This record gives sequence, C-alpha cells and structure tokens, in this order.
Amino acid sequence: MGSAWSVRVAVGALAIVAAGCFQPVGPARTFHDYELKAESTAKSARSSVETARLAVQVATDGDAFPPYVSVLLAEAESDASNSQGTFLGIQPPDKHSDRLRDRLGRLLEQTGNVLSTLRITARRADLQQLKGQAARLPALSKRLDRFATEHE
Amino acid sequence: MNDRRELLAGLHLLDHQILDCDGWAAGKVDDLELDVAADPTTALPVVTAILSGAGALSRRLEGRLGRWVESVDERLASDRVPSQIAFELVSEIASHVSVTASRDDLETGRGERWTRERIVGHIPGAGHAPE
Amino acid sequence: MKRLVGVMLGVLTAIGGFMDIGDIVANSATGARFGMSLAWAVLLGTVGIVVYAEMAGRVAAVSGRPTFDLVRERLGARMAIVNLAASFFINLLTLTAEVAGVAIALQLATDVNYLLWLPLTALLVWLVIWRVRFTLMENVFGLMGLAMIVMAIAVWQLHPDWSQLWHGASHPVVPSGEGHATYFYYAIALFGAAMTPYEVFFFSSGAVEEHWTRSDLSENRANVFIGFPLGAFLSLSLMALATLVLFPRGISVDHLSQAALPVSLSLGKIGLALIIVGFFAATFGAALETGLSAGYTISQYFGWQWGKRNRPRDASRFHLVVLVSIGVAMLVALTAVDPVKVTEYSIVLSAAALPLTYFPILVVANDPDFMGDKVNGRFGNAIGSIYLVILVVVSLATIPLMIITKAGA
Repeated sequence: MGSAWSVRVAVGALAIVAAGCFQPVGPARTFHDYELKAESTAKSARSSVETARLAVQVATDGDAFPPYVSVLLAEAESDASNSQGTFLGIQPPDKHSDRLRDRLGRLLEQTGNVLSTLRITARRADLQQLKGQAARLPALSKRLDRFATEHE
Repeated sequence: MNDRRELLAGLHLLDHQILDCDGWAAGKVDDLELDVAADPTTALPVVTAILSGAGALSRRLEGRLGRWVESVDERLASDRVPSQIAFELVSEIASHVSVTASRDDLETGRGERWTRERIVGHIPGAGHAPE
Repeated sequence: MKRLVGVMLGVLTAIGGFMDIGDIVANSATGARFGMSLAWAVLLGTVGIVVYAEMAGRVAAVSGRPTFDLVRERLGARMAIVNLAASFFINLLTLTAEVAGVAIALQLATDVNYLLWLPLTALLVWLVIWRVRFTLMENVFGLMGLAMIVMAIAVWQLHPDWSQLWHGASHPVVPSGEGHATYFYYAIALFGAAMTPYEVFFFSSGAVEEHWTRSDLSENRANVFIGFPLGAFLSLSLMALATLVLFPRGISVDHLSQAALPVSLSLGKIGLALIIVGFFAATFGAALETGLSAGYTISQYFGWQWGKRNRPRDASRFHLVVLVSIGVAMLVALTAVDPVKVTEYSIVLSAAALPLTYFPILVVANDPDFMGDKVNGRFGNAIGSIYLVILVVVSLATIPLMIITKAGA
C-alpha cells in the first residue's frame, strides 16, 4: 500500500467531489431521454409548489414565524427557477420534444410567477395576504403531477 | 540509562510517542540513528539518537509522498539535518519513550516553539487554560 | 446528577455526530422519498457505532490515549498516514458543511442570508474551542441539542397510523418508481451518517480530555448505550415526520428549512422554535467536533501535544491546525457552494473510507500491551469482526453506486 497509490486515490476523491459539486446537465439525445428529464423537472417543480402550499398553510394558521416562512418560500422559488432554467437549457432532440417543451415550459412559467409573488409577500411579513395568492397552487400541483405521470 | 537492552527497534521504539521530563508530548520517534560498528561484543548496532520531525519521517515514507514531505521540511527548516535527541537522554522505554530533558530544550521542539512564539502566543487568551 | 452530566459526552457526540446538517437532511430526504423503508440502515449503523465507540472509549480510558494516537504505533507510519490523509480531508469537508449549517440555522430564525452569518459562526466555533472548558461545551450543546426531542413529540401529535409506520419500517421494500441502486445508495448514506469517523476521534479524544481512567469504564458504557441510541431515536423521528408529512405531498427535501416543516405543522411556533434551536445546537456541536478532530488527528499522528485542556500556548501546533481548518472551512463555505451537497459527499466519501478508521480500532482494542486485561471479549470481537466485513462491503459499493445513481439523483 504505497503512498503513490494513496495520492492517486486522493486526487480521484477530489475529482469526484468537484464533479459532483459542479454538476453539468447532460444532453438529451432521444425523445425518451428528454421525456425523462421533463418528468423529473415536473416532479421537482411540484415539490416546490407543495412546499409553498405547506408554508402558506403554517403561515396562515399561525404555526410559523415570518422569517421562517420567508426562507421556505424564497427557497421554493429559487429551486423552481433553477429547475426551469436547467430544463429550458436542454436542447430538444426533435419536434415531438418541442411540444413537450412548450407544455412544460408554460407550467413552469406559471409556477415561477406564483412562487415569486408569494416570496415577495412573505418578505413583507404580510402573512394573511398569502392565502389569496396561494389559491392557484393546488391546481398547479395537480397539473404538474399529471404531467409527470403521463411521461413516466 | 546504563543497562544495555536488546530491543526490537521497529516494535519498541519506532513510531512511539516521546514524552519529555514534565510529561509533555514531544513528537514521535520517526527514525533512529544507528552506530553499526560501536559494540564489538554483541555485533548489534547501537542506537545513538532518536530522529524526530518531518525531515526524519519523510525518509521512512516511500515514494512521492515522502519526497513531498521532505521538500516541505527543507523549505521550513534552517538546516538540512533532521532534528535529533541523543539517546543518553532516554530514561524509560515503555509504550512511550521518556526523555530527561524539557521539550523546550530539545532540538526536536523547534516546530512547536516557532508556532508558539510567532503565531499562537500572540492570540489573546493563549496563556489561560479554558475556563 | 453527576451521572446525568457524565453521560453528556456521549450525548453530545451522538447529537453532533448523528444529527449534523448532513444527517438532518439525509434522514428527512430519505423519509420523504422512501418512507420508513430505510429505517433498518439507521439501526444497523447505530449498533455499529455503539460497538466501536465503546471499544474506542475503553482504549482511551485504559491506555490514556485515544485510538488515532495508537494507530501509528500499531500499524506503522505509512498505513497511518493514508488513514490520516483520508480522514483529514473528509473531516475538512464536513467542517465546511457544518459551519455553513450553523449559519443556515440562524437564517431560519432571522431570514438573513446564511453567507452573511458565516464569518460570525466561524469565529464563534473557534472561540468556543479556544476558551470554553470541555465539560461546559459538552453540557451546553448536548442539552440544547436535546431540544430535538420535540420531533418525537411532533410525530405523536400528528396521530399517525402507528401500525402503518411500523409496517413500513419492518417490511422494507423499494417504493415503486425508485431503483434498487438508489435505494442502496441512500442506505449507505444513512449507515455512513451513523458511523462517521469523526464521532470516534472526538469520543475517544474527549475521553482523554476528561481524564477518564479504568474506573470510568461503566461511564463509558453508559455514554455509549444512552447517547448513540438517543441519536438513532432522533434520526428515526425525523424520518417518520418526513414520511407522514412530506412523502404524501411529493415534497423532496433539499434544504434544512424543509426538514423543520413537519414540526411547524404539528406543534406550531413553539415546536418550530425548539427545532431551530435543536438544529443550531446539532450543527454547532458537529462543527466543534470536526474542528477539534482536525486538530486531534494531525497532532496525534505527529506526536504533538494536543487538547483543549491545556493552555493554548502549550499545544500551539494543535491550535494552529484547528484555527486554519476553521478558516479554510469558512472560506470554502463563502464560495456559496451548496452545503447540503458538500455534506452528502462527505458522508458518502467517509462511507468509502470506513474500514480505514475502524480496522485499527479493532486491532488496538485487542492489544494486551495497551489494554491489559480489558481487551475485547469474544462476543465483542465477533460483532466487531462482522461489522468490519459489513464496512468493507459498504466501502466497496459506495463509489460504484454513487456513479450509477449520479449521487442519488
């Protein structure tokens, strides 16, 4: 068990960590590949929507402090925005994929808008306003869920 | 230490902890200096000094790692000889190796002294044990 | 009362070791994705750490030296430096994530960006190591960490279907839609989180810092048999909360904030406040442990005077290593690299290096030169050896699984 071996292992470990922390997204070569990425994006967006729903619920029920609700909503918004950015950055491999992109793109856009509004309201500590603004979340969640199931 | 002992240097000495006369840790036995022809009666080499510090250790670590450690030490140390403790100072060999000098008087303590004087000693509170 | 206080080392180790930011997110994320079907991985890891921490504590009490200190003596300079390099690197990764974790816990309470909290948290962690007595540190952060018991209360308050929860835990199945590779990758993460090496370095060095002797062997056992199972209890509570609240809603956990959400839902503001305090204490405790372990491992390899118990000037190189490590951790965290990702990598990498840490402990605990009549018994060796086999299997499977599953994506 020489030290040269251990140096190689160390460099390898560092490479693995670095690669993981700066993960580029691979391209999609077939419709199936693209569909899989769309599915995982939809699931991730739905997770953000559901997090926001719960955040609004605990906020309006008086079960949480405003700073915490703010953090939750800001993170949900930024996660959704990252998912959207990553997905839209993938080159659709064919025309069939283009249609998929449009559909999901619209859903992601709506998601982003609602989450932004919620984040802004929460930062102003205006918790009771959240309820009204969150009214569209359940429907959005259902549509994202349906999208993901259709493309499993 | 007057009585002679035959030791398995690898087992009883190398990589063991060195303690000074006050019980402070003073490094590990990184290497040994041997005088091969010293004792004609037993034809065994006699240990004349303990070597401790990066310069000593790097010779025992093989390959690139050892050479890297050695180059670091060469840059930090003023002289190129690994620091030593004369074997006459050894008072006890058990799980640790005790020496009769204080660590501040040992050549091998230069790393600790440098760190204390140049860096840690200047941070407020360095002289107080935690309360 | 002294009994209770005496157990605090084990409690703090467990809380800092079991419930640091990586474990919090891992347990919560696993519950949200796999329900209770990976509870067995937590239990398997808990038994492992109990067995090995008891050995490490016994070695420290009987020989007066921590296990890492003895590794070089028993296994040679070369093997030990490989051990050191791997341990130190992983430790530094973890320290980075923990310092960030403390800052994130503060963000949850204040909505001030965690990056702004980083310099303060790094300074605080260093100050506590520099000036606060070991036992006081244990007691304060151990007790604060116990605030996380609120998670168990939160589970209770949700009035769950206990038989369903139990069924999920006792009949592990890979949920539909998830691959087997991902399932086992998360199992390794949970197992690795329970057996992270710095827990043993800290526990065994801590035992020496507290001047344990042979007469403290029963205290050693109390620490180990109370502290770590407590950590497991907290982990499983967190997993159950995610199973009950997040799993049905399809919420995947990527942030500390989401892990606290079920408590807020179940117990309101008081519960939320307690869990944030608990998260703060756990991540701070973990930062202390990994910061100290950085100093312990390097100092013990090179034979430098180490420890918090001395005046800092009497252990200068030890304190320098701690200071530089915390500084580097803070700088890396300031690059805004995702701390949750960093900690997940550190858990997984340490899973890959587990045999390196634990094999020497088994060897040293059997050595009559250090242990006298307190060497491992046959039962202890049997379990220890079985676990060593498990660790080797885990270690070999980790990197391939990480590559196949793209780190659990």
